[in-house]
Amino acid sequence: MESLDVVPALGETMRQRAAELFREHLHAIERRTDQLFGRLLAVEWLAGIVAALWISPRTWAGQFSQTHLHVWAAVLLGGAIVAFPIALVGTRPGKTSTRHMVAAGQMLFGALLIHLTGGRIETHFFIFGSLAFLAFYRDWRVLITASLVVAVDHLVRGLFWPESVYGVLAASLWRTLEHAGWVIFEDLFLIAACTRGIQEMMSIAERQAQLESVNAGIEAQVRDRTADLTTSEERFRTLSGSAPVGIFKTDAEGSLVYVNARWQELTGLTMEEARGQGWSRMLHPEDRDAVLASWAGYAGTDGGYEREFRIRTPRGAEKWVHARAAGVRAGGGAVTEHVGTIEDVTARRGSEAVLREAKQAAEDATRAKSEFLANMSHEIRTPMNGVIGMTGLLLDTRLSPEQRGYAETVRSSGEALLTLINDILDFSKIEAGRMEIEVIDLDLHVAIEEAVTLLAERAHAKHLELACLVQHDVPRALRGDPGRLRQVLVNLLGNAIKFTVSGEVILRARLVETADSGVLVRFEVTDSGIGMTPEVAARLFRPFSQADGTTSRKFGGTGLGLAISKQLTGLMGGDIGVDSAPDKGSTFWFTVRLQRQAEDSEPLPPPTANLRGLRLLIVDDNAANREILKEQTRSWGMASELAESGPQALELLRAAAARGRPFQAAIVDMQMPGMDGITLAHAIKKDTCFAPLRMIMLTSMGMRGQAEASRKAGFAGFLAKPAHPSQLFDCLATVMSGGVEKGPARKNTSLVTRHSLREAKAARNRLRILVADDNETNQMVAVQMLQKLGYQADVAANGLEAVEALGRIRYALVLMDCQMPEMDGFGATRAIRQAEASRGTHTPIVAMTANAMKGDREKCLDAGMDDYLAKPVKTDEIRWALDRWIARAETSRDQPRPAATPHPRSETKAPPAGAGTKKRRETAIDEAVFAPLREVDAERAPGFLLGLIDKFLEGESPTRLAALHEAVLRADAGMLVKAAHGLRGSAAVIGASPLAALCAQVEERGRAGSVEGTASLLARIEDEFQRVRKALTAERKAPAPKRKTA
Amino acid sequence: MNEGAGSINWRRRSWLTVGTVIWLAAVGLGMEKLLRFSETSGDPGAPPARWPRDSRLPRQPGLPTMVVLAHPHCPCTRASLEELGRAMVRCRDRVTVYVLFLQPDGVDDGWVKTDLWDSAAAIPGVTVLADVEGLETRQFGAATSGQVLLYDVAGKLLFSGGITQARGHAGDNPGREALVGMVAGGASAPRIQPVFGCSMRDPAPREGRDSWNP
Repeated sequence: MESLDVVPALGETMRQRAAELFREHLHAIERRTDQLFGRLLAVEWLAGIVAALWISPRTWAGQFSQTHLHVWAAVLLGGAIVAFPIALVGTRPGKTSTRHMVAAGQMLFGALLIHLTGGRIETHFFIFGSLAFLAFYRDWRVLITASLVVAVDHLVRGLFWPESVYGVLAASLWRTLEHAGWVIFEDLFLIAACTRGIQEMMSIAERQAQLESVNAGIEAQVRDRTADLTTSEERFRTLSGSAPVGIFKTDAEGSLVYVNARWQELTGLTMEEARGQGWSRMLHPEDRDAVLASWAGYAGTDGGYEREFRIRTPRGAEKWVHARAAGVRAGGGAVTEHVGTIEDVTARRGSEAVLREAKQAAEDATRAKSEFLANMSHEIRTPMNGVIGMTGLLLDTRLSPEQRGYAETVRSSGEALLTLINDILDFSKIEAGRMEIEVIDLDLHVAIEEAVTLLAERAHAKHLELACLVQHDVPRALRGDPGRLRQVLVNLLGNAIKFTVSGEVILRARLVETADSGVLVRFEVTDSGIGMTPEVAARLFRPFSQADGTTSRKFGGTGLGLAISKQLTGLMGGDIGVDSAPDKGSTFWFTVRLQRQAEDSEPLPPPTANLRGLRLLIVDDNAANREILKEQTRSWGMASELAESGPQALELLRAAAARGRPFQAAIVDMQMPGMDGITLAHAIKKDTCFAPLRMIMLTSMGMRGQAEASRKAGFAGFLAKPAHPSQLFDCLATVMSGGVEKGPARKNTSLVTRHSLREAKAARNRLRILVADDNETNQMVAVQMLQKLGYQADVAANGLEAVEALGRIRYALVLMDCQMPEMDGFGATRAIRQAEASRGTHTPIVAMTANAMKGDREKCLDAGMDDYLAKPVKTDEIRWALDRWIARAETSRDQPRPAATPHPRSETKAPPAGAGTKKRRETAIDEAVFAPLREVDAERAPGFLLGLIDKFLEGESPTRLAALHEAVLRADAGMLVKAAHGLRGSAAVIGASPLAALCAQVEERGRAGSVEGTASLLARIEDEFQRVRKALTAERKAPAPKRKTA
Repeated sequence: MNEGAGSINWRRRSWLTVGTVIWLAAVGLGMEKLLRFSETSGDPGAPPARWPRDSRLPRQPGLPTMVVLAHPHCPCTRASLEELGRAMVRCRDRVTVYVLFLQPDGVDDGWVKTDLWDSAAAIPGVTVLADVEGLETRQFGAATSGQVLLYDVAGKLLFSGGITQARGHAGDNPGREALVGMVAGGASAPRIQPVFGCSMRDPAPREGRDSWNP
């Protein structure tokens, strides 16, 4: 037990258990040893009898003998010795007294045996053997008892029969000690062995107690796990039995070992029929091989299995099933089994088939709808093109103000209708999922500014502040769809203006994300309008949905704009939303993703080509379109031929090339029967004879993505019908000026489109032009024309001011009147050139002269001017001159200046002195001159025309007429020239050509130094002035809308 | 219950004690009887003081003569022969030794030639003879098996008795020591020792039959 105490790790319970085990073990040993000795004593007794019978069976006297006493001793005394211990062994096995009696008996029997054998020394080994045997008890006390018996035996015999022990009568003490020493010697070893044995038994008991404890723990755990497993198995069985899907289990090799009831119900096979590979009989013959192959490929792997296939039940019913299986790993090791499910998907497969058919039908319908929309687009745009184009041509003819008003209304209504059709078509395309977004180069800042500019007039009319704030880090050169971006911006800005009564509308643009490939830009349109509730805002982006039912009645609109904008922003990789509260205004925002441009991308150069004399081929299957284009291009001096199909166009191209006068440009319609525009372009590009030909695609299909296809086909320009004449002119001029041929990179990335033209125009808007003219009417007209063309204009009243202005500001070009007070145009030009010589710069100077007399041109060029225009200057003449000279100055700054090549009209139509008198006597105002002024008034500067008329009738003209009268009376030729020149300039600008012609005659006479005959001319001038006054007064009284629609 | 159990234990212990005492007493008594039997010597007989003239045993001149008289079936004589063997280790060639096994009248040679005969014959220097009809036994006056007689060169009895300490018990004993001393050391004082063994004579009939006439 001490041993157990030294094991602190053992708990009290375990110590007790160890002690118990020890006791049990020891007791068992004691009982076993008791029984052993019981049997041994019996055997010894018999052996003693045998020995006695063997050694001394009889005792003799002569011839007679009787049983030897030893035999009786062996039987009786030996029996007495062993009987008692054997009896105790039988009745009290394991008891302490028993083993001590056994020990005593054993040793006593040894003494008897020694005696019976005649005291043989060999028999003494029995004693030592007995001691060793007694050590089996592992009780050292037993050894002491045995030794005591030996000691007592020796002592008694030593006392009474010493010769029986030592063979001598007087035993030596040393012999006694020697005998005792040997016994003690053995006892020591045996006691040590007993002690060690006890310790080992204790140790074994401890270990057994621990083992029992561990086993008990393990058994408890096993019981728990078994219970869990049983529960889990029961749960699985229950679930499996009630599962609505078939459940199966296979071994690792894929042989079926279990299926649930649903599986059997589904397949019609019983578990026994399905076991192993029996399940394969359910497979549909057509699917059988594929399923078995796939299952064989799966089984044994650790992947998953999933397949749909058909089965056929024993009753012949065919079903579609969806089978899934996965491997189960034992302890995360190899796959030991597979479990899976099969599900009846016959109904779903049927539904899918129906759905597929329905989807196919829907797709067919959508395709048909799309084709219908495309055709409708074409069919609507073609007549609309005719309406708008013909109206444009009509407006270029001489019309009465009333007729012009009607024509302008037709054109604006046509354009409004076209916009509406475009909206509906856009929405239809979005609904059909066929809306595509272009990715072309764009100047984002220009696109934003342009959208704002488009709506500036509307905001101004409502006295709203319209502001635009683009943060500095928003890149300019990007790639995206400028048209769609502008569409969204215009829609949001238009809505903001529409729903804002007073206050402001602000457009902000800022960068949200930036990466190498592109950027995410956020636009916000904030207004101070009526605002809306969150509920209203939530439904705002749904089609045909507006703030409330009264909105459309009050503010108009189809309700498609925001829905389209939402779709467009989504297509452009962004999102759209609104933050608003009633009466607190709204902030509509959207984001778009735009790509970065290649580094060598650069904006289009301004159109500089002279279109006059260019040989143009117009290819369009629509006769009206051909006529419109022919008429438009004819007005720009181009010589065109018409082709109604692709093959005819190729024939004309070949014929022209054969004549040595190949076409230089071609305008090609996209949609033509037989050979469309793209196919024709490919055919043209295949023939190297047509290499110089520049092509412009004109399409009425309005399908996105065509621009890119056109660029790839070799088109240099791309416009949608109906193309505005100015757009077509700019496109032709840009294409012919080589804007798209500047370099390989440019060629790959650029296509002249209405967007790129707008951007180029906007870029020009940043250029400043100086108008040097003392005539206020001229100033007004020139400034308005320049602004209409997209330039900023400053005014100088004489040559000195012009020189001074050029000293302060760098102008892109100077429009210089020749006759001015203080310093005339010639002097100013010379002063400017002199100053530039020291700086090494050259500002283009274009003379605007009303002289138009022979030698004036040379005089201008000699003075250092670059070109000249004859008054009255028309818008397209100014545009032509500006484009030509600004572009040259920008792109060829270091090259020699080109020769002055006046606008065609300047050469061919510059009226010689007095020519206007004859030709335009019939009307006081030349409509060809006045119409552009009316156009400026309508488009850009409402009130401009009234101001101009007032200034002419009430300001300058009466003063100059009075000066003429005074000069005639005084016969002052110089004064006469000055007054006549001034009146002539004003009259020419406003279109009073007969009056200007009369003034020119007076001026000519005055220059000749004579005032003779001028009085009669002065009377005619008065008459003509009255006619002009009458016409202009009528114009002034015309209703504003009529003017504005012009 | 505890009192009952204690009583039972006490009773058991008492019975055990009593049993043990009885057992030890019985064993002790038995052992005492056995020891007493072993220590009880036989009839010492009446050996002649001089070599009998009628003896047919030849004597070698110059050497003493030792005669051992034995019963061929006496278990105690085995110890006497063992002791004779030990004595002969020291007495060989110094004495003429005869071992005479009693052959009563009417018994065959097989009765005589037992394992004891063989044991005696195996001792070097010893002559084993059958004492037919007990003539020599009677002439030498021996009565107990294992009796040893030593006559000196002159035919004078020097030693008579046994050379074991008890019946059937070999081991050091005064008889053997004296005998060896006489032969090897030449001691001359006669010595008589008790002899342990079976009787050489038939038991005397109740009617007073002579025990020397087997």
